[in-house]
Amino acid sequence: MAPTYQNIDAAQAIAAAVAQVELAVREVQPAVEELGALIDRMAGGLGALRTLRSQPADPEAISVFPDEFGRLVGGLQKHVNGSITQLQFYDRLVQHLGHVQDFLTGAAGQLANAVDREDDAWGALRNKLRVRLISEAQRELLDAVLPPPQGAQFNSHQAREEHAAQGTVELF
Amino acid sequence: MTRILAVDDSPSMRQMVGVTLKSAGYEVVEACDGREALNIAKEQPPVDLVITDVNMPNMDGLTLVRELRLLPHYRGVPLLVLTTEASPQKKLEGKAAGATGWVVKPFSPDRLLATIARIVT
Repeated sequence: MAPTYQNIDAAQAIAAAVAQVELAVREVQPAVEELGALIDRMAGGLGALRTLRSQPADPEAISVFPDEFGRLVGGLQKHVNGSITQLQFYDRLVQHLGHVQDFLTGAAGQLANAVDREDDAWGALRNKLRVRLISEAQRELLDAVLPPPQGAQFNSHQAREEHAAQGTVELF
Repeated sequence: MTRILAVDDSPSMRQMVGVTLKSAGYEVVEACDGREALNIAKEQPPVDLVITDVNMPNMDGLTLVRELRLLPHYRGVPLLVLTTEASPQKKLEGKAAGATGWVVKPFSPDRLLATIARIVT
């Protein structure tokens, strides 16, 4: 049986969604690894604090305690801050997958309604996802897997710039 | 105590912003979208700073900034945008709306706190 236009559009939509899910998982992986490393360092810092507390009341040890305590607490604060930064990639993942979920729900709706290809409902669905995607890398991937009718225009320079902008602050 | 209104539709993001601000001694008021934030601004005494996301349901962050600037008691309040959006075009829109600054997620707590210390008097 020859594929219908509807089937081709649906297959392309599913392929685009799969690619977005792969990207979402790939994007969050470094953050998860960094978070694991930070938790490991925090556990080490807590262990060092406990060791310090259990030291005998040696006058010399007591005299260096405040400095050592401050250093360890400062280190823990730094790791907590790093964890807050890395945890935000989870938020980003949820946002990204939420958009993909809505896109697939829309695709299922198109299939159920068996719309006429002329009304470009699939194109509208694709455009809606593109607007909602949250990074240039995500939009470029969509354009590569599910190109717009006029063809994809890639600007990897823009994606790199966007990545470099993460965490930046600009006051007007 | 300095009061900061943190606006984001993501509960985890509100939590991370809240933890960061509270650890530095700020009092935090939270809102889950622009509409709730605007209601808080209209019904409660003005906060010292607003930090808002851009893409939110009901009312987005840039509309919130525009609406807040229309309130006489919010004309001089610093309004920081905290968003994944990093395009120059979006930043220009934010500036035109009346935002004080633009912070791109994921934020660094140290950097965010240093920025707040600079703009909150």
